[in-house]
Amino acid sequence: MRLWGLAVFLVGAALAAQGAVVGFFDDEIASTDPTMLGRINRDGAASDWGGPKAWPGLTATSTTFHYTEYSFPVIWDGNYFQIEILDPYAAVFASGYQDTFTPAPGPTSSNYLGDPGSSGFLFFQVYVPTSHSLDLVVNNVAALSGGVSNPYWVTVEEFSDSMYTDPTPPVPEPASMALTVAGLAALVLTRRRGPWGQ
Amino acid sequence: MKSRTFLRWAAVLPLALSPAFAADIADSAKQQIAQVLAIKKTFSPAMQKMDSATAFGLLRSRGSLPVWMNAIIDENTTGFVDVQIGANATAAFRAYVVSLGGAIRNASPNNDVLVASVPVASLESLAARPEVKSVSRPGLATTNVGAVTSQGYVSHRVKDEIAQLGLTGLGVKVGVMSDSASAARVSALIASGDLPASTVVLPGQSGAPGTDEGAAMMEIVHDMAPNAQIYFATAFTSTEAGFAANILALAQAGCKVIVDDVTWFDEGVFQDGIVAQAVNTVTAAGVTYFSAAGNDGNLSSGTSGTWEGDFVSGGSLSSGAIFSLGETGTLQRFGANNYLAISAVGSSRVYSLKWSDPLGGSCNDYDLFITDSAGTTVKAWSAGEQNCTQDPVEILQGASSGANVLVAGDKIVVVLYSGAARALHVGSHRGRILNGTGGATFGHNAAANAVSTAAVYWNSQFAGTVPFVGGAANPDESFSSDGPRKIFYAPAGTPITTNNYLFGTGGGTTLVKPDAAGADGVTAHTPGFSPFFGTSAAAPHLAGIAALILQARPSYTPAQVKAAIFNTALDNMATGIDRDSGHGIVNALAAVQYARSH
Repeated sequence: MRLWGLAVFLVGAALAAQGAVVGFFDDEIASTDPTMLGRINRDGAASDWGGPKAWPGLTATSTTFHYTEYSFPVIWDGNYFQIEILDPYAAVFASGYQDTFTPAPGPTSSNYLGDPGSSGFLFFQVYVPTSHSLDLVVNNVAALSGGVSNPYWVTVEEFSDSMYTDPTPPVPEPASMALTVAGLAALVLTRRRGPWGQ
Repeated sequence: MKSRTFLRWAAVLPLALSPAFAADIADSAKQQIAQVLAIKKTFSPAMQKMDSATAFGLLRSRGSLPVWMNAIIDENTTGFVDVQIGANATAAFRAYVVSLGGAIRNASPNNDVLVASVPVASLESLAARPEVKSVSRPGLATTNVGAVTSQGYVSHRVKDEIAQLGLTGLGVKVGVMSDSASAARVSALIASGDLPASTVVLPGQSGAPGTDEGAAMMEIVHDMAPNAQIYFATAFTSTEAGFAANILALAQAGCKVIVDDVTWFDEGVFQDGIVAQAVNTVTAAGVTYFSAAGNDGNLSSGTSGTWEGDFVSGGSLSSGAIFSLGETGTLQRFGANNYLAISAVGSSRVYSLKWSDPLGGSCNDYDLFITDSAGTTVKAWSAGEQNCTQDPVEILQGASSGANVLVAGDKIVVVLYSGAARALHVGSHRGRILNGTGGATFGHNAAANAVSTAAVYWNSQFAGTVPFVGGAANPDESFSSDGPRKIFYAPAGTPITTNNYLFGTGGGTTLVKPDAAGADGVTAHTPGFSPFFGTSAAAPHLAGIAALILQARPSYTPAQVKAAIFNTALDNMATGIDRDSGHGIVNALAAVQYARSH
């Protein structure tokens, strides 16, 4: 699992002025990624902040698929997650879980939060309680090697409400106050590439 | 292929750099606080009934505040202010408010609160009335406008406008027209807060059963103008006359903004038909009308499903599959060929041919055929009679199954059965054709007085939920219908240019259509509409923004509303006004600021 989210704690006074993007990356399913039997049924209904989405069930339960995971902790009061997938090959499918994803041997409803309902160029929204993390799972949708090595792009945003309000840092406790949380800031900046991988 | 992974994180400011918390505030701030309190002590009894914003706003308008306070309190540029009046709103009191030059917006069910727009200069007199208990600014929209909110709320800067200017569409009625908004869906959306409790579906006009697309459109209007009242009437009546009647009915119900997302395939291209005429009627009566431009593709994206041009003879029809049906006449020459090749068949399977004769008076007879790719077998046709009493329209719908199912490679053939050369419009209605042209949007969607709306994906910039910036970062959707729209006849059928009905000779007039662009691909709570793509989603964003403008300027005409929208739009696609998105992407904050100062 790519644990970028656990490696970086955004404790600064401000997230980017342009909103609450906490993840923006491209990737592809690799043939060495772990496998599961079956995948979530693409029922055409995207989950949103209006309420939990019912578990859509599984399909192709005898077929092996590869998957990869990314973890994003809830930052401050950023419980409202919006995940956008740009998947020009319609080769992958994304789903969200609370904290952990444990195929047995395929996806289960345990910790399931939501999904976009389809593959392609879509987004979905889920609510993650404070002190928990979004475990974003991306799997290919054709048997075993189908879709492997097809690139996709992901944007993950956190908001403090359904009106797209940026997360708000907690009010510091008064007084004793030398603010001493510098040690929590482990900022990771990698080389930046454009969203199209050019 | 090696995995390519990169990461970009939001900027972080380590909290450790923050200064230690101050034990006290500075003397300069203390002095300013003292000045505020000193002014407060001078409030008249009438001003004491006002909330702080209203009272200090009144003093600012009189020039009675220190300079430093003027930088904080907005200047009132209109001379009017929306206020919530705690009073027994009797008929006599209401008449008094009107006598001051005010306008009643709303009243609480038990008449103990009145919302009105009143002249700033009359505020103190109003508050001094013995029956008035309080005068305050109306509550801003709550932060919870329902379970889900369109991303267009951010993209169009409505979020910024509400935060900075506080306008929410209060007092404005917006009418929405689409296929349906069932009672059950409307009730559920009201319960979830995604529609206001005051939502009205005109009796018998829900359009149910349907897809509830109208409900999803209403959600978007509510997201953009949380305090506007929303009305709905179906556009899926059995006739276009019914559609036109519902437009008039919404205007009669007091809607100052109306939006629709419907196209009737047989609407006129080169002349306003009955629906467009209804749009003209309500516009003349002060309604600002928005219409989805359509999802029939555009030339700029290479997705055109339209061909427009003049009739050019491709020779007599003297052989072949069409001739064998008994058809005679002259083939239309499309560039190098006597046909247009279909590159993709639209889901509607509908193809139309229209030409520049008046509606109800076509004396030139054109026919439409579709053959297989070899041109040996006719798969579909429309060959009605036009002998001076019919519309200049031929429409066919391809088979849904069997040997004659339309496929890519099939050929569109046009025959002039009898008569003279005219300008032609071939539409494939969400299909694609090779060698297509612009001019996809037509009918009332491109009416002269409607704001024809193109679509831009809310995250076309792929930067998350952020405001549109225009330019290359925010291109139109590839399916969004383009313009321009050539018109050869006035609505009554009078030629615009007598005896000149061709593109090549400069006949008619050309309208800039679409006019502007709005967000699509957004989330809505109505099942099946998340994401909600298409110009059907874009148009209600603009309708909601119009409601914000009208709250700021209640007396604005449609032309003035459009000026506020167009003059502040973010240019995208080709530089300047273009055939894809007209003036560009609407910016709610800038549009309302413009309205407040013009």
